[in-house]
Amino acid sequence: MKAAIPQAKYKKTKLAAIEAEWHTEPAPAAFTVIGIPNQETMETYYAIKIPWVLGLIGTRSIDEPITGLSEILEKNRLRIRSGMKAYALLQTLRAGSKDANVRAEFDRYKQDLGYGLLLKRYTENVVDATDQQIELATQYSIPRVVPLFWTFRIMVACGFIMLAIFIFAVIASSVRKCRQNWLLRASLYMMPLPWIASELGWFVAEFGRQPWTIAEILPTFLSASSLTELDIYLSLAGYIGLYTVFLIIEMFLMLKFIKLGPSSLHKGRYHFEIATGASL
Amino acid sequence: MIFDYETLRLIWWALLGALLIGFAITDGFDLGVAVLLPFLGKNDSERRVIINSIGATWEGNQVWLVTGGGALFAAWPLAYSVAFSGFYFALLLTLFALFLRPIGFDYRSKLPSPKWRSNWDIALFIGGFVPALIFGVAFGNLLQGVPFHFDNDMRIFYTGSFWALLNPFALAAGLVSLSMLVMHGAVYLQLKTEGDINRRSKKVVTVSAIVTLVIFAVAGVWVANIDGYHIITEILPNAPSNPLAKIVSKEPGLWLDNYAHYPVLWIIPALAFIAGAATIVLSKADRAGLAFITSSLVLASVILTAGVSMFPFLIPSSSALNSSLTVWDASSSLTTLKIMFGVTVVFLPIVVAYTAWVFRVLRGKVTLEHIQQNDHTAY
Repeated sequence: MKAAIPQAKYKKTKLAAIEAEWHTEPAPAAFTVIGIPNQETMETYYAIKIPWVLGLIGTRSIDEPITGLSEILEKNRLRIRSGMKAYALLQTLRAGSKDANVRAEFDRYKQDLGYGLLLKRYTENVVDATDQQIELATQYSIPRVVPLFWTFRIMVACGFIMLAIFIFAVIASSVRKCRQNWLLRASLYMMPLPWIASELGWFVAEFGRQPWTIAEILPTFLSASSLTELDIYLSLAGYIGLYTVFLIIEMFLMLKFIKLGPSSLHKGRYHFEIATGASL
Repeated sequence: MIFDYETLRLIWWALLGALLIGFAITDGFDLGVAVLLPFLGKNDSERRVIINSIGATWEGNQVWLVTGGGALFAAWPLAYSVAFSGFYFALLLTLFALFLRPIGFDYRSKLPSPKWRSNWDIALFIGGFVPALIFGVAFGNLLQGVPFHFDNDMRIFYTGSFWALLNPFALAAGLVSLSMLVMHGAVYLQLKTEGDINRRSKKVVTVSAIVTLVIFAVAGVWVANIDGYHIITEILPNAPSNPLAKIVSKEPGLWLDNYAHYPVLWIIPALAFIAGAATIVLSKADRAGLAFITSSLVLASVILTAGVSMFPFLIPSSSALNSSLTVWDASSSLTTLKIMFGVTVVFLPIVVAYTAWVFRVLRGKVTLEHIQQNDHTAY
C-alpha cells in the first residue's frame, strides 16, 4: 500500500481524502476498510475500521497523528485569506511599486498566493471576495473524497487478488498441479486486473492532487489552455476514431496470421512441413 | 559552466535551431522519400526498394522532432504553450499524418494484395506530404506573427483559427519546405538506389531544387513587404523572463533589419542558393554523397534565414504586440537553462556519434535482389 505513505506536507490532503479521514483522531489512527463517505456531513457511514493500521502505515509511528480533512479545511481557509493579501500586494508590485515595505509584506504572504488564486473561480478580482466565496473556495481546496475512496480500494483489491492467485500458482506449480481448470480460468480472468489497477492508480494520483496543477501554487482551472470544450472533444474524437481504425486493421492482420499458422512463411522449420516433404 | 543568462539564452536559441535543422536533415529525407514513393516506384518491387531505403532509420530520425519539442518545452515554455495550444489542430493534423508512417511501413507488405499495398502507399504519401507542408506553414505564420495575448494573470489566450493559418504567405513557406524536403529525399534516393529509381530521382533533384530556390526567392521578396517586428524599449538580456515588460512595434520590412545591421548575415540566404545550385550540379555528375551534403546545407540555411530574420523574436504576437515572445523574455529560469545545457553537452555528441555509426553500418545501396532475398523480413 505504497500510496498510503506520502510524507510531503501537501500530500497530507491526498492521504486524508483517500482514507476519508474527516477529523484528526488520537494517534495511531484507525484504517477504514470500507464504508460510505459523505462529504457534506463529513462522516463515513457503515464504516468498518481496523484500529491503529492507518496511523502505522501512514506515519510509520504510533504517536504521530494523521491530519483530518476538517483541520486541513480550517488551515486552508486562513491561507485563502492570506492569499488575498498576497494577490493585492502583487497587483501593487506589478503596477510598478518599488516600495520596500510592499515588497516585504508580499514576501510574508507569497507562499499563500496560490490559495488566493483559488478565488478566481468565484470572483475575478480576488481581493473583493465575500465570506461566502471564501467558503466556496475553501470547500474547493480539497479533492472530492468519494471517487478517491473507492478507486483506491478497488486498486488495492486488484493487488490482493493478483497476489492471492500468484501464491496459489506458486503452490500449485511446486506440487506440479498447475493444470487445474480453476487455476487456469482464474489466471485468464485476472488478465485485465493489472491494467485496471494502474488506471485507477493514475486516477488516484491525479484526482487526489486536485485542485492543483502545481501543489499550492497553480490551480488546475487557471493552468488550462484557452482551447474550447469543442476543440478538446474534436481532438479526442480524432484520436479515438483513428486508433479504432488502427485496431481493426491490426486485429484483421493478427487473426489472418493466426489462422495461417507459424508455417505460413514456408521456412520448413516445423516437423509437419518436413514430414509432408517440404524442403528445408 | 559560468555562462550568464544572456549567453545561455543565445545558446538555447541556437540549440533549438540545431535540433530543427537536425530534424530537417535526417527525418526530412524520410518525408521527402515518402512523398516520392507513389511517383518514383513504378511497380511493387521498386516501391519496396524505396521504402526499405529509409526503413531502417526513419524511426531514429523522427526522434529529432521529439527532442525539438522537448527542448522547446524545457527552454522556451511560453513559446511551447503558445505554439502547442495555438496551432492545436495544425499540430494534431501533423501528428495524425505521422501516425500513418509506422503502421504504413509495418503493414504494407504483410499481404500480397495490390489494392492493400497501393492504399498503404497513399497513406505513406500523406504521412510525408502533410508534415512537410505544415512545418513550412508554421514558419510562415511565425514570420507574420500570430494572434495571442496574456491576461493579467499571465494566462495565454490564442484568438486565431485553424483556417487563418492557411494564408497565402504561409502556404508559400509551406511550399518551400515541401519542395526542399522532396529535393532532399530525391538526393537520398539517388544515393541509396540504382537503375531506374536512381535515374528518376536525379530528374526530381533538379526540378525540386529549382522550385525550392524560386519560391524561396519569392518568399524573400515577400518578407520585405510584410510586417516585421521590433523591440523599441531597452532590451535587458539578463532580466527574468517577463514578456509584458517591453514595447514592440511592427512595420513592413523590419524582418530585414538584422541583415541591414549585419550585412555579413546575407551569407546565410546566399548559401541556400549556392548549395542549391551545387546540389543540381553534383547530382547530375552522379556525386550523390556530396549532393546530400549540399542539399543538407540548403535546408540548414533556409531554416537559419528564417530564424535570423526574426531574431530575437520567437513568436511575435500580431494582436497584442507587446505580448510577443522573444529570446530575452520567454526562456525558462537561469537554473533550468544551465542544467539542460549540461545534459545537452553530454548527450548530444553521443546521439550524433551513434547516429553517424548507424548510417555507416547501413551504407550502400538497397537493391531489388535485396528485397527478393528478404521477402518476409524487409518492409
